[in-house]
This record gives sequence, C-alpha cells and structure tokens, in this order.
Amino acid sequence: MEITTSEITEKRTVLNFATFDFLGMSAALSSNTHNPVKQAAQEALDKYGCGSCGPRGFYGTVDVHLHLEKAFADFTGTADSILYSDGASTCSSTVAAFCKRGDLIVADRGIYEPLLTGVSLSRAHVKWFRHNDMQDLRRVLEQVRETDQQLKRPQNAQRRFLVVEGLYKNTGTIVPLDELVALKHEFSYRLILDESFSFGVLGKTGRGVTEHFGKKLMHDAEIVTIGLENSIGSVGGVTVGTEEVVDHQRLSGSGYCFSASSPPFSAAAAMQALEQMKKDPDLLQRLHDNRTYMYEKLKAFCTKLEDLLFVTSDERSPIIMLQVADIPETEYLDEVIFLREVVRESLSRGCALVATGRHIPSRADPPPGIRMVVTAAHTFEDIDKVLTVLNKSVDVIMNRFHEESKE
Amino acid sequence: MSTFIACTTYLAYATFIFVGHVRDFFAWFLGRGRFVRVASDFPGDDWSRFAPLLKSWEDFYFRRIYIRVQDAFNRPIASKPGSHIDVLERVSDDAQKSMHAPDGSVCRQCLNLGSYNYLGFADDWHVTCARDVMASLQDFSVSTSSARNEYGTTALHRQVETTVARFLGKEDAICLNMGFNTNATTIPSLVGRGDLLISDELNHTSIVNGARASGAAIRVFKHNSIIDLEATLKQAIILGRPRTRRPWNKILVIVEGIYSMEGEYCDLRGVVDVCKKYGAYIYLDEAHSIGATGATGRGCTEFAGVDTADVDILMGTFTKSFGAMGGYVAADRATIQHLRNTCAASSCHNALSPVVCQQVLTAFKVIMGEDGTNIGKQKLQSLRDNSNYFRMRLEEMGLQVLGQYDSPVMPIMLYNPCKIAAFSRECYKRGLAVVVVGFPAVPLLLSRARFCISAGHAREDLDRALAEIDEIAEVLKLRYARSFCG
Repeated sequence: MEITTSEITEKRTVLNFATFDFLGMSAALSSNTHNPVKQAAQEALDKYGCGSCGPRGFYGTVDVHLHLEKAFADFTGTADSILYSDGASTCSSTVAAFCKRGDLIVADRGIYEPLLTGVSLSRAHVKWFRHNDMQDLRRVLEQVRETDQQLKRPQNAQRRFLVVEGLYKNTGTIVPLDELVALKHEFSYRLILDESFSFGVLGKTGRGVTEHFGKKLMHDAEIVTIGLENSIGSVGGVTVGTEEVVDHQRLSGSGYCFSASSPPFSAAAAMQALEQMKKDPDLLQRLHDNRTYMYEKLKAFCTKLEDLLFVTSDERSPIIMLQVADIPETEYLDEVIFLREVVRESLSRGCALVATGRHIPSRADPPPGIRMVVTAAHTFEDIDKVLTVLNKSVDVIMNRFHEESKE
Repeated sequence: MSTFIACTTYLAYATFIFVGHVRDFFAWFLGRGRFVRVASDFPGDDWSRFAPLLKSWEDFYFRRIYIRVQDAFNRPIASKPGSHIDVLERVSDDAQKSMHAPDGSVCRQCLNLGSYNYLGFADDWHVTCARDVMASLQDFSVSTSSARNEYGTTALHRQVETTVARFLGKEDAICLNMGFNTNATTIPSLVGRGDLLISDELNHTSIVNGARASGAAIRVFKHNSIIDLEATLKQAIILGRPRTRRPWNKILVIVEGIYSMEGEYCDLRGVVDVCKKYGAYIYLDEAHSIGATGATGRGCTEFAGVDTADVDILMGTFTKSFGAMGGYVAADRATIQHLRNTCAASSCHNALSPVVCQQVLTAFKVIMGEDGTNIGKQKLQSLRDNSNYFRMRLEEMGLQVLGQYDSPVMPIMLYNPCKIAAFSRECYKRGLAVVVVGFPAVPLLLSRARFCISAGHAREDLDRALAEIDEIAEVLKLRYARSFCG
C-alpha cells in the first residue's frame, strides 16, 4: 500500500506505515479501478451532493445516516447507535453528555486527546490510575469505597464511570478488559470504552476489544464509541449502546446537536466499508498475518540494534511503538530530535513513519517513540523493506550523532 | 415582550409540567405507561447499585415536553438539501415516544426553508461542482486516516488554506475537519490560564466548549451591546486577575458574524473600535456569514466595512455557503503556525476529507468568479434579493421578525411552546420544511421558527411559501408585531 506525499513542487511515492487505515479501505490508488468503497461514495455524491447543509435536527438527517446507524447497531449487537460527523468529537461529546458536575470519573492515564478533552469538559470529579495497571485501579476504587463508608454514602448516590480505550492510540497497548470488567462489576461502575482503534482490528470478526475478550456490549460496556476514521476509512464516529444511552445524546451530545451532520457520501462510504469487512473475513486475516510477521521480524531487528530501540506496544496491536531504551549509550541523546531525524531519514529512503512525542509534552501527548501501523494492505516484502530502511536510518543518524558529540 | 405573552407562555409550560407529573404519578401508581422502566437484565440498570444514568429533570423535560413535539425535529430527508427536498414520512407506534421511517416509506416534496444552503450549491451541484469533486475522488481517498500534522495533509488541503487566506486578505489559514471542532480546539490553544475571554452571551456552543476547555477566565457581555462590552473590558482591565490583581496576559473578545438564532449581524465596527481602544484581540466566528454576505461574499467584515487586518482571528465554516464540511481559521502567519503545532484538531484529529476540500475549492472558485462565469455573482445577488424580499413580506404580515436586512437568516417569534409544534406541522402539511426552535437551544420563553433563504429559491416558490405562512399566521395568531395577542 502506498501514499503519495506531495509538496507543492515535488511528488514522491513512498511506503505508508503512518496512517491508521488498518484494513486498507481507502488504500486504493487511482490505478485500482474497482474500489467498492469509493464507488459507494461516488453514488452518494451523485445523489446527495457533497455537504448536508445542516445539523441533524434541522433537515440534516439524510436516509444514509439512518441506515448507517442501523447497520452499526446490528453489527455490534446493540439497541441503537448515533452518528457524529467527526471521530474526535464523538468521544469528547459522549463523555461530556453523561458525566456532569458531581459525578465521578476514574480514567486511565494513557487515554488520548479527545477522551481527555471529554473528561475535562464534563466537569466531573476525576481520579486517575496508572496506565493499564489493574492493581492501581483497584487501589483507586477501594479508596472511593472507603470514602463512601466514612461518609455513609450509598453506592448509588453518584454516577460513576470508568474511561478507557480498547487499543490505546498513544501507546499501542490493549486494555486488560477481563480484569477491568470484573472490577467494574465488583465496584458498580459504568464503563465508557473507546473502540476507535480496536474496532475492525481485534476480535475474530473485527468487532473490537469486547469481542476479543468475549465481553458483551451493554452488559459489560455501557457506552462504546467507535471512530470511523481508522478501520472503516471514512470520516466520523458512532456511539453504540442501549436506547437510553443513544437517545440522551441526541439532545445533549454537543458535537451531534450543534454541528452539521456528516456528508452523505462519507456515511455511504462507511456503510460500504462495513459491508466489505463483513463480507471479506480475509481482510482481517491478512491484517493478523502481517502483524504477526511484523512482530517476529521486530524481535530480530531489535536484537540487531543492540536493544537501542525496543517495542513497547502489545503483540496483538497493529499500532507498533518503538521507544528508545534507557541504556548508557543513549544518555546523551535528545530523544525527540533523534527520533524525528530517524523518521525523516526513513522518509527520504522511501518509508513513511511517524515520530511521536514533544519536548514539552502536554497531558495528551504520547511518549517519544516511533509509530508504525501495519495494515491489511501491506505485503511481507513491504514489512521487510520498512525494517531494513529503519535499520539503515537508525545507523546513519546514530553515526551522525556520534560524530557531532565528538566534535 | 409583553407581560401577557410571558404569562401565557409560562402557563403553557406549567400545564405541561403539571400534566407530566400527573401522568408520571398514574404511571407509577398503575405500573403502566410508555415510560415505565421495564426490568432489563443489564447490570447498569440495577438502581440499587448504580445511580440512574439520567437525572430526573433532564429526563422529565425529554419525556413530557420534548417528546410531544418531537415530530417537528430530526425529519429525515432523502435528497440533496436543495431548494426542494424530499422529506421522509415517519410513523410512531408508541405515541411519539420514538419515531422511525420504515423502509420504503414515502417522501413528501417540500420547499426547503431550513437548510443552510445559502448560495444554493446543493441545487446546481451537478453543474458547478460535480466534475471537480468526482475527479478528486479518483485521485484521493475518502479519508486520509491520519492527522494533519502526520500524513493527513494533501495538496488540496494546502490549496484550500491558501485560497481562504487570499480570499480574506490574511497571511495564512488552517482548515480542520469540523466547524464545531475548529472552535472547540483552536480557542484552547490560543488562550489559557492567565488570559481573559470576553464572549457575547449568545455565542454558539462550540465557542462555549472551547472557552471552557481553555482554562482562561471568561466574562460574558450582553448580546451585541457595545456599551456593555466596553464596560466589561474596562472593569476587567482595572480589576485584573481575581485575587492576585495582576494584569491579564491577553484579552480575546469573541463575537459571531451572524448569530444563527437571531439572524442579526454583529456590530463589528463598534467591536473593533472598542477592542482597539483597550488593546484586546478579536476572534470573529463567521460560520453563517462567510460566502453569503457582503458584496463579494467576504462575510461580516465586508458587510460592516471593516478591514480584515483589524480582526485578528477570522474563523468560519464550510458547511453552510460552500455546501461542504469543516472549518477554517485565518490569521497572521505566526498564529497559524502556532495553531498547526498545538491545536488538537491539527495534531491529533483526523484531517478533513480531500473530497470535501475539493468541494470547498470549487465553491470558492465560483464565488470569486475564477471559473470564468458570473454564476457566483448571480448567486450572491439573488441570495440578497430573496432574503430582503422575504423579510419585507414577513414584516408586512405583522410577524415579529428578528434580525436585519441583508441577512439570509430570519427567525420569527412563536413564544408559546404549543405553537412550535403547530407551526411546524401546519407548514409541513402545506409542503414547507421549516425549522422551529425551542428550549434548550433558545431561552424558555423565546421559542421561534427560523427561515434560511437560499440563492436557489425561485421567486414563485417564495411567494407560495409566503401565502401559506400568511394563512398559518392567521390560524395560529402569530402577528405579534401588530398586537400582543398575535
């Protein structure tokens, strides 16, 4: 799979390991004549034009929106679903619609920016637990219970939510849903789960992290948000849940109520992509094969680099994070600059990767690292190539840094 | 508003609430009713362990008031949002608790007075935009699946940005995926702790969200009142930050070009003068005015005769006049560079779809006359003529019309909650699709209907609509400008 990066002057074709198009839904180039997703988009454009020219409440609801909502509810086995026009505002509006002043949110420290915005917009009381650390979560929950007992406050006096992601965008780790759900039931919390990156990736049929762990939506996860921008390769997001959950957002989800609805063509594309996903289990299999192959190769790769870079993402995740190890050799390195240089070098050698992290990180920023995304559209040769290029780039940049430090 | 209207409106709400409580009581007493909770096996519904997900008042308003009129909202359509739309007929099997359009339900063709299709790009889409947009779908994908700062920027995004900057006479611009998010994410990256935001009381929710997320101190001034703005500014500068009394780092005044629920232009000249006097920055949200107003479509600045250089940050959306999606911010180069680096929508969120970018570009070409035709000019001219004609006729009927001439948004006051549904249903019956607005989008007492006029409307259509509205105004007693009884 390839993308064209085009500056105003030059145009170059490189290998794409940077975008989150896990199933390769939007991967096809113009040469690929038959892409059903594009065709659906084209038909919708022909029928409905481009924009919807209005919010959902005021004649911005087009029949394709309703079909898409129904399709998602059916696919995830929930009562209903609600379509937002932007993936990020799906999370932030959903969290803010349910959590209000006086409520309690217990959230993972590793959540990404839109969820964090939702949490801070909600004005609820927030407690944090260490990323993916269930012991720490238990500690926090027990603390709350103790306070309850001291204040003689009944358990049902306050709405309480756990906020986690299925597959963490920033770190490529997967939530230990088994233990989390057990804790949730034990302490009676509602779960807000963001499946934006796990939907279409995890689980046997791509239904996300809940399927992966054999959990049931609405029972074990009350409110689930799904971005349509990654596996589905369109624009927007949906929230699925019980009728109560969905209907409430139609009036109080601010990103739904006060924003124009998503263009009919992108909803039609999402609909078709979902169909493709259902029809073609091969896609998911290819993604899994590529991922397994990538992690195998990565092991050898990291040893070869003398553990300068090491893998911090979960082996089941197609988002791969490589971070700089804490070894004496790297002490003099400015990590952020080093990683950016490596990524730039890789790009000039024909592979698009992403360097994450900033010098002055804010709460939502991922840790410094190199992010690669394996998709179903890659081949084993692509994976070999990206690792060779990365290896070469690291060598070049390391040498350059060594020379600079000598001078 | 006269006391009589206020009393009758309160009385209507009181009746609703009273009847609602009576119904709730009987439902509880008899254990039967539309809203009685059926025992479900979801653990989250066990109220002995969980607090109810929805608090009672939110829930009560929804159940007992909103649901009565919900057929007036969320009407699905099955066509382009042009001057005539096909509205799908919905049915309800549970006394309006839920409404749905079953498969194969019939459409009713209505004259569309509700969509923000100001320049009518939805009407002549196949003539003006289709070729370019379809071609872009061949070259690019539906979505970039990546953030602007990573690999989400295509050549089209850059073209949109340079075009916006050129159109508005600013150094640079940035375009983001959603108009709502443009406000909600750029404001936090422009201001923060130690800064002051002064915001018009009727600003859109997206601005409120952005302001809240920013952590800056917020002061609100009376809608469109320059005197109050000046007083607020003066007081803020004199008093400084709370407790420490240190001066503010910076002060940002946020106003909208056209207030969508009022149809009213912002008094930009006054705002600019006051802000210059006190050294405050201006953030102008042109969601409804860009492309649609001013002699050449350059929005509120052009309408008010203000140089764009005097407005520090210009924000707008592509949803309305351009028939696309997304929003932009235009400012000087340093500010935009800062936004590119720090604004969440550019560093974390998915980029605008390239196909939508192409739609924006094509629409710009038409508006600026760069497609070699004068379609854009005609569109602007007919939008202005249509709006002014429609407004004049509404005023002649004695309806209480808000807003100013030259504004394509014109709300008329309904006040009474019963009239919301009645007006909408009557219009729908006569083949007019109109927007009615009630609480919480507007204050409880000030329910209204809103017409959005488009360049795509033909004069005969408007005449027909006006004749129907005249009849409805008679039936529903809406002539509030003539008498307090309507």
